[in-house]
Amino acid sequence: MLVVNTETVPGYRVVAVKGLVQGSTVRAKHLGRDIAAGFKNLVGGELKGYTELLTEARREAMTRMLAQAQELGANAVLNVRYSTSAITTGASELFAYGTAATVVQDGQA
Amino acid sequence: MIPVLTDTLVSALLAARPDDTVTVIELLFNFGLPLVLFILGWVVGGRRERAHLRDLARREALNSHILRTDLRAYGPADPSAGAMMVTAEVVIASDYFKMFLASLRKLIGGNLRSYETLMERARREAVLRLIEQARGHQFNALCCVRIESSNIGKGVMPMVAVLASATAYRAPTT
Repeated sequence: MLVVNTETVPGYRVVAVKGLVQGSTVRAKHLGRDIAAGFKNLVGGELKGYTELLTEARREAMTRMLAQAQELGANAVLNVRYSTSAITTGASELFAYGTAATVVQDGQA
Repeated sequence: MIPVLTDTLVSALLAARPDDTVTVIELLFNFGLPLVLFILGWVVGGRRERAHLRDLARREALNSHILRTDLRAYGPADPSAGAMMVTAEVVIASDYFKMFLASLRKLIGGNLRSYETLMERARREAVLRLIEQARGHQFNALCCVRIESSNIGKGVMPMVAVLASATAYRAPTT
């Protein structure tokens, strides 16, 4: 599956647009991470635990979006965008959406 | 921060009696702990920030030839390489010292320099991670770079989360 956040792909052309596909996850950080982050907050620096959490959430949202695209029979998702929202303290939603499409390499039918 | 300090000072003074060990302990707890955290933030936080800035400068110098734009269109691209979306996230915490500086600054207004560097570090780190991912897949250019940041900290302690994404492609090298 070809995934880009632009509307075109160099070397490919869009032959069919299948429609909007989306995937989302709502994740909470667990208490252990929260406490570790609390200590880190005093001395600054990257909060690796939270970064990983975001990465996992984003992968999950992406996987769900790709599954939808696959169901539509697409082989690419174009113009992918992320959006995040805090639902409650300690839980946030990561939402990925894009346009599923069928693309073929230039010079092929 | 400041109102809390003056509050505790006033209440401690009102409650102070000679030979009152409880007040001494209270004073230690109310002022000693913030002081330790303040020094910890100043020394350790400052050192970590400088180390991070040095690391960013080094990695940026290594990757300065990578073209990055936030245009939705590609530059000259090698059609055989295709394209790939890359995403990076960074969460960075402030420290107690920065928070203290910011709370002082808020009294007179103006630039919160200590938080500006925090945001800057998070964004530069996120973009570098995009570039490093792209290079890992033999791409050498990025377009449609999108950077989104949000404060996920509770109360007065800011924590910055940056989510960056872009499309990596290969520009013909001349």
